[in-house]
Amino acid sequence: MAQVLGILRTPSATAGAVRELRGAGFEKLEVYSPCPSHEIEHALDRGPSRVRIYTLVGCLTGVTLAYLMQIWMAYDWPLVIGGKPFASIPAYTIIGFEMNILFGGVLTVAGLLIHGFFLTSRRDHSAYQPSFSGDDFGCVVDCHDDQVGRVREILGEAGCAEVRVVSA
Amino acid sequence: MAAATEPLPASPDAINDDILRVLEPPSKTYVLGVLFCGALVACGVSAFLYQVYWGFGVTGLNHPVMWGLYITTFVFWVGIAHAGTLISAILFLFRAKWRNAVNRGAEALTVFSVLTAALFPLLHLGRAWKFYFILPYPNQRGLWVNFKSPLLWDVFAIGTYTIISILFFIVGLIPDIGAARDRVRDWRRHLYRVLAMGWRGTSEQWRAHSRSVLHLSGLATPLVLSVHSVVSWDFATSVVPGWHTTIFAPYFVAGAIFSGIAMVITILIPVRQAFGLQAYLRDVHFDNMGKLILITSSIVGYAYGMEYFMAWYSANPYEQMSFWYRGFGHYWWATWTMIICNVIVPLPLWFKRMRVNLAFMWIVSIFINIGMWFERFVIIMTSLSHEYDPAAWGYYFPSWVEWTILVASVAFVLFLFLIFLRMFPVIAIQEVKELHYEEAH
Amino acid sequence: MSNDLAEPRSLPRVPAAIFAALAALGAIAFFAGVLAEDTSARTYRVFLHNWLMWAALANGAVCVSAAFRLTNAGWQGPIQRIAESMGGFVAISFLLYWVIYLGRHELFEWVHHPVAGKEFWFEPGFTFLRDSLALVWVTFVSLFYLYISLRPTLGAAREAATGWRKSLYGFWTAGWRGEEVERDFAERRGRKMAAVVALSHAICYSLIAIDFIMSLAPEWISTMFPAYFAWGGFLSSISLLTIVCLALRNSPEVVPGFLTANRRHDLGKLIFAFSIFWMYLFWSQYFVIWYANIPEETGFIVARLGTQFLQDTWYMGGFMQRIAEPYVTWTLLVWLLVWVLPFWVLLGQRPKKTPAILGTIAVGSVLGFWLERYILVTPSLVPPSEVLAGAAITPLGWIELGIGAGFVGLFFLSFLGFGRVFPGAIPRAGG
Repeated sequence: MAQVLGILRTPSATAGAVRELRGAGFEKLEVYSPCPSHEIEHALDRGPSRVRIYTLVGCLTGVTLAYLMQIWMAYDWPLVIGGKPFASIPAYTIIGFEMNILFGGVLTVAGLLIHGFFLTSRRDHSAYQPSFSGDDFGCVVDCHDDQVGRVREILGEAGCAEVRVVSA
Repeated sequence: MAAATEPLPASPDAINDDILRVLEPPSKTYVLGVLFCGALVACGVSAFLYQVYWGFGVTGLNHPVMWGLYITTFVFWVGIAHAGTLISAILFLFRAKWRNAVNRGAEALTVFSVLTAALFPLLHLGRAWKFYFILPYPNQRGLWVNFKSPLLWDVFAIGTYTIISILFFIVGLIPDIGAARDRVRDWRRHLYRVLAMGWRGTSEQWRAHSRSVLHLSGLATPLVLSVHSVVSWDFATSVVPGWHTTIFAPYFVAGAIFSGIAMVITILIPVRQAFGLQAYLRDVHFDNMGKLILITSSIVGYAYGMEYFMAWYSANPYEQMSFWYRGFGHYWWATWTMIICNVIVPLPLWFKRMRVNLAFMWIVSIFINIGMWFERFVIIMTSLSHEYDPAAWGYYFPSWVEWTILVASVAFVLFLFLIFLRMFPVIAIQEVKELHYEEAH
Repeated sequence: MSNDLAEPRSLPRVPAAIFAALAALGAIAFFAGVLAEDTSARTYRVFLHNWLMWAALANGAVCVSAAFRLTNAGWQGPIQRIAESMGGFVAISFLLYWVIYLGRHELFEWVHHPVAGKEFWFEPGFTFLRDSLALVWVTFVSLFYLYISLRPTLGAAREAATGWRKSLYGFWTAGWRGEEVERDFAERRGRKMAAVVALSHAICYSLIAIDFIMSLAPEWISTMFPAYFAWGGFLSSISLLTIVCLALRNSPEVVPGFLTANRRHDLGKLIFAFSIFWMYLFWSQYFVIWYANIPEETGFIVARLGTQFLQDTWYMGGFMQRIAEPYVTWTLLVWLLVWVLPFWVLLGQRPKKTPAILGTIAVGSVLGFWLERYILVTPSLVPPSEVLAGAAITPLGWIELGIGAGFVGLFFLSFLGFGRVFPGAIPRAGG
């Protein structure tokens, strides 16, 4: 396996390179970019992030836990306050709402950590260089050794400022 | 100010350099500023220890006014915090592009002021070391907290707000820390390497990142409405004249955003001048923040008017007395300061010329900060000192301990902000770049 | 383009006939109701709640256009002009206001007996004087805003116009200074007026809420209520705007295909977000009153949410007891239509973009607001105790439905007529 890196200057050029590569059958791609880009995301077409499930689960867990906690504790130590019933749904809605947000937010960040940092599909980042957090876009292709020439050609045509083989 | 119309920076790499330049070794003024704020904070800590040692008698608090400057300042700082969330979350959802140069500073301000705010209920406790009694934890006495108490809602609302605004802030920072890691060469690069957690800007990371920023915005938007509403219900759910009024929740939220935006302006204008960020913090930002100030100032003015009208309309002698006392009683000076600062002073901002006049904006923002602090002061003091029973009327004025702690709280927020300036990029680099590419497109 | 604009257009026949029939039905229902001794009070009551709904909605539509301008929204395209065409109804709602004046003896207790402590505020002459002035002002401001907004379009159309339109446009665009200048002027002046429109809506409709809704139960006070009512006018007009846009999305009157998926998404987001805000306002008022339990405040809520509203536990048996009380079902239906459904259905992205789903929710929201206005007015005039004693109340009686239909007919006749008088008011091309 070889890794070929092409360095591009704009999101649109990068998206173009990705489309060309995918059109030619290279699916093992990684793009490094200094900022998020819808174009690149569309070109890669990897579907929506799984983070959204985490938010939903968190919100529902939070609100359920909050009501259960309040109602149970209110009956565990029953006190009449303000002539209201022990389990006063309107009053409990506030903490229910806050815990809905709290759990939703915490789990969203957990989802980000899991899918953005811990369980990433790519482990080898030897192609990364500091300019990718500046103004360069990097497009890395994994391919067989005999395909390197083809990949270099596509990347060159897509307008890469520089193409090099990272590892052979 | 001619500098206000400088062109956008030419290249994305220049964006990194410009913004990260702020992180370079500090000047003497900066160090002096940090030391000065630190000294004031130390004064505040000493005042608090003095209060702990001698007890609450050293404050001005006494029957019937048992909520004083601490609660006023608590509400004030919670309010300031709201601007950051508004700019980061609500304007993000509304796709207002101008927000991206001011959001990082505003988010930092949110985190610092909500942390400061959270101190004040603790300062207000007679035995501050027992603060954990408010949390619902299993204990040998077998009792639970009262979930019908507004003070407990505060614990959850402020707690949630603190955690979510810190998370929001950190999530937004990660890519910029990655950029800082790739550039800063001194001891801080080790810190950045740890904090960046292996951020490389891969498409997978951006996808997860954008999605979580979107969701956090979606969560933070109702959260920001709820937090100050809950704070307002500390007052409104009571039956105290002047406190019990249904408009309080949206009125407090509007006031919070109003004061928060003013504080963002107060802080960002000097930062802009000091670090040469004229190309990033431009006319359009101050113009738009001026408009937000106008909207919220109008809402606050509407609420003042509505409260006074309803007090008169209610034909309820207690309500009428309470509002008469507000305008013409012992605290008339506070009330009129509040009305003038919050409703009259922002009026020139109806003209665009004044909104892009940064010197003027800065002065107005200071007035609004003062006015909004007085708003909370007026609400609390006038209602508590003149409740139903004339035999239980009283007067409250804060003691030097309380004033010291108030000043120290301002210094504390500034202190944290100054440290932040040197540690992390004050402008969201990746968002400015995104906008740069979109405009070039 | 200007030739196309000036082409005299007749009203689209079938819809115009339907709406005219509805308007006629409304007129018949109104006169039949008013002239019969036993239904006269009920008719004025129904008229009042319909008027409150449509007047606030029409002015809300002008506010929607103003909001687009103020926020530099940029996504709306022809939707802005559609909102403005809906706003034309403010002139008619101002005329209809005088019917309330005629019915004042049937509607307002304070016309006969001064309210203790509020003699000054509810002095009948003073009350109607200030409300008339407020309505004159808000109607004038809204129409003037429309005038500024339409001026550049009509300037382009007047060359080719014929007959009465030519003189109307000539009058409208007096002092024409060339298209560029006028567009720029309209843009700048329009933005200033937009701020005035929004402020006037908030203030004047707050006053209307106090004088025509709160005054029906004069002991009740709530500082939130006026703002809540004015916000309802804004939200209901966004819902109706969505319906109109969906109905016109294939019409040759507007640029075909103007209602792109993105615009549907944006309209859906507006309904979604603003209905949450509506619920927030409702909740903030309800909650404070619930918690403090002061009799002079709870009365208003008890009349609408039932006597068990303080023992708010919502277990199943309690729920069945609650909805057995008068008005409670309708109030809950309002929540369902205006908040619960828009929130849960429009949560995702796809439902917002699907015309059938978005349209259903918008129709539900408008119906919900119609019921909401009903529930704001009726229980104050016919308290639950009278209902339990046998007074007939239903939002679905012949007078209620007849007058409701009449307002729908009038509103859309005005909408269609606006497009006829001002070709290009609903633009065929561009924004």
